[in-house]
Amino acid sequence: MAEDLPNLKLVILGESSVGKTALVHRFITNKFDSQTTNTIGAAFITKTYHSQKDPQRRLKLEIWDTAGQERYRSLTPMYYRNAKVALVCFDLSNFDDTFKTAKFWIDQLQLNSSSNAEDVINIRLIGNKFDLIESSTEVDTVEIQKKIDEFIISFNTHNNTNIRYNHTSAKTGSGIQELFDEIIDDIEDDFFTEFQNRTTSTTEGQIGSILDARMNGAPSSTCC
Amino acid sequence: MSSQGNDTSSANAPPHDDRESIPRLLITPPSLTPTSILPPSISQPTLAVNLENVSNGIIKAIDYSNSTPDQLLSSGPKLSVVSSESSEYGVRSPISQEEYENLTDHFTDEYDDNDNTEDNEELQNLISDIIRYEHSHSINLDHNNKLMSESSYLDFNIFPNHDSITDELEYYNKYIKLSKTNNEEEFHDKLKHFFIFSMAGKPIYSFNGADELVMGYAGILTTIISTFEENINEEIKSITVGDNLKIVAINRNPLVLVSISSISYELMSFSKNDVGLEIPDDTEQEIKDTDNDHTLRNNQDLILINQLNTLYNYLLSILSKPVIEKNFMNRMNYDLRRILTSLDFDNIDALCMRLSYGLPITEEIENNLLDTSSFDFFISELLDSSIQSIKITNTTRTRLNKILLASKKLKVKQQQISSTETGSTAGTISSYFPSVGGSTLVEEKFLGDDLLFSLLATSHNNKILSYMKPKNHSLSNDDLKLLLNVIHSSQNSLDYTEDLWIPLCLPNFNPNGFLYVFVKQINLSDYFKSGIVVQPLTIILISSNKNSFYQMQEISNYIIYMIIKDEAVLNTLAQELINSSRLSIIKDINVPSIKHFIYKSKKCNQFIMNDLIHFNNDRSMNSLLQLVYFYSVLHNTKAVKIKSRLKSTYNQSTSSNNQTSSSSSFQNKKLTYAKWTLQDNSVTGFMLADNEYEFYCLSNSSIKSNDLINHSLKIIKWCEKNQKRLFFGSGVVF
Repeated sequence: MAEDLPNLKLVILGESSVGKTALVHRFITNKFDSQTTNTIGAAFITKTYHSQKDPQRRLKLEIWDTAGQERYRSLTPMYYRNAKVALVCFDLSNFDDTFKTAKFWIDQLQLNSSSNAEDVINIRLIGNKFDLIESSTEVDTVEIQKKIDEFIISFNTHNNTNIRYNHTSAKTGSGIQELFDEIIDDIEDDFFTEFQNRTTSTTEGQIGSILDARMNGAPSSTCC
Repeated sequence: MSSQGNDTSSANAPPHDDRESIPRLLITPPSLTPTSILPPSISQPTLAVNLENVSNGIIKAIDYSNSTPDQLLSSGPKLSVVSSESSEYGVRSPISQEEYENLTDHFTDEYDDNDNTEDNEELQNLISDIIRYEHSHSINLDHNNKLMSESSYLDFNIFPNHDSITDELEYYNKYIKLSKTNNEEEFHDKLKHFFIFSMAGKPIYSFNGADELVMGYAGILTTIISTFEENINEEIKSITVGDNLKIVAINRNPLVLVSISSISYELMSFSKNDVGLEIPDDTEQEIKDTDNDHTLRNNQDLILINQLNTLYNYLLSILSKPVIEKNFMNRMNYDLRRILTSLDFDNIDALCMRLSYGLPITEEIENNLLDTSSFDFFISELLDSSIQSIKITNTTRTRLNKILLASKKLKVKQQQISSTETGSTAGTISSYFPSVGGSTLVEEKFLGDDLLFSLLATSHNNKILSYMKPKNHSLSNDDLKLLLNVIHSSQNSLDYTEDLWIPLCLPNFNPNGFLYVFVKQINLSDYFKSGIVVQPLTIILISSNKNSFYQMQEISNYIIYMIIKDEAVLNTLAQELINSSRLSIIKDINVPSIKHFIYKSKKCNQFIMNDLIHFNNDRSMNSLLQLVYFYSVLHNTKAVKIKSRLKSTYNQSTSSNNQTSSSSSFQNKKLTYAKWTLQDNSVTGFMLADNEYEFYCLSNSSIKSNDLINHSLKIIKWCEKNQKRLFFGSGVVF
């Protein structure tokens, strides 16, 4: 069995084709596949990770990579329920359309956020496909940055939140590791210390006890 | 738009005659001139369509019940005319029913220990007749030991070929390959078209052609369809243009699906209705025929109608019926493409290609080792949505079934559930299956309350190993295929595992709602230190509750744990999976003259066939298209009915109970024999079916009739004997 680590649930939201799955693939395998297919429903991926600054901050990330299509929206609350971190993605090379959806998700998350300080979801706005606008002359990057900044400042002041912005490129890999390091570094120390305390008191995990209970049910004939 | 289309196409096409009215508007590829598309050619199959082409002489083959297969092979059995006293086993028996029964009873007793002998006799007679008849007409059969690879699919005139292209790839590129360009000529060259429109004439999907090109046809086709419906109050089903082109439409309001085909094997009249039908006796049969006149006529379009239904079911599976209807209810002009993804269009493209040609959509069509899952899919559709399993021992299958069953009955203490963060989301409502309260402790609940179906399948080729279902429900084969198809398309090839949670509507189960499918891959190779490479398996858990992901995940963890925990069990499973991927039935049971076969169990509606590679030593487009054609002809040709006694054991029991029972003690056997002759090469196809199975095989023509039957029966017998290893049956029931 894997080592006992604290779990951190992270959900990735955003319009379809902004590169959510590619971002996850880059983070997990450090590879980029331009042929990534549309996600149907959602995919659940786990990865053990620690911050580059502090190897003691080690945890198991549980990532929900969700489908961007509107037709799957009714399922989404299940994915962000209990999530600690939400990455709300948009496509920098298709800013207007995808940023609108990003704002929609941020509003949704805010509406559903709990008043309990412990359950507050940490939202990060992610501008993906940075490689496409980096050296582009057609896209007004300054204008885009201005719009993003304005939105974040206004949202944060109105809702007393702390949304932050990262730009990434799943294709080149730029900004991905930095993003996840920041996420881990942002977590309060309590999260790790509390886990330490809890594991010492309860020894058995859930699966273990189920399996123990069912152990003797295995058939074992060998004929035929 | 449409008038422009006509101008261009008529410039390219030869002048048209009186048929211009409707069809010319729809499709006028240059190749479809009014003259016959299939020129009389050497390669038209000789078909045993009826007994008229069987000569009167009754021929009996050598009785080989006492000889070994080796002897048979070396001696090369000869055909010989037998005297009239043996003719009671022939097809045109002049004797009465009673006499026949007496004689066959005697016969059965005598050969009690070899229950196939009797079948052999009759089949021998029949097939020998056919072959002898044909022999006098065909070219020398004796020097035909060449490999079939020397022939090209183009030699068989499967497809119209008016510019006599001899290069296989060139033909493919021009007439078969998917093309989404705005080039009208390219569009008209294609042999097969699929369209999905809204009732208002808005194009949703087209197999070929760019949007601008399709727009005009969408208008025309929907106008024709709705005019028919308004004026004649009848649904339009098909338009046939000569012998060479057929247009079939189905109306699934608010959607219309249309297929246009000029592929020979899709235009054959379809005798599916005929196969496996219990036919009591001649007089009743006649009545039945007139009753069925209407349906029989429709059956001619059944191949294309089935294809359109498969496409429609795909749309249902991702959207469900209410979603489609709701969107159109408000706006007739709604564009359904808004809620479809590029993956959906890729999937529909792939479906169209599979349904029509059994080919994958790939850039590397020249590859001689193509992925055969598209061919598998084609055969499955041909055989009435029969599905393939994977050969494992019954012990292993039973063990896997038990694991699935045990996982359904996993209990978990309520406290434990609520201690995890997921617990609060776990809905306890299960409308379908209230928990069976054996030991209902208050704090215990079933983890799998919402679990309806479980499947274990191989990840690469979607073959099912194990299946669990509730008592009162089951998934149709169509639904299972759809499910496996969607799962396959959404699995990225990854170096790591992910758990998928897919909302899916299974139209035959319930077209109005979604089920939630948990998918996880188990990479068995990870559990071997020795570096054994085993194909990964996929766990598929279907739940009725959209919030039950974490419960399904727990169940899957349990299933994996149970599979890997016992090293001996794991080794056995791995070894069986490896063996079954190397399975070579033809070699194993020594039937070298049969190049390829399909055996379908009618009871389970599941089939097995050998690897394509045994046919031609490759898995090329060429071999694939040939097999698609041969099997289509074999399947869709009306078979010869023969009456055969039931096996001796059944005989004895029936005759002791009721001596007068006559027709009920006969098993309906049917056969089709087809031969495609080229100048220096030919292929023999053989189909044999009764109430239990359908068997199809291909061989080169040098095969002797004895061998053909003997080897076929050998394979059939092997399949019957291995029934439990080859098919997962109806699965395990909770």
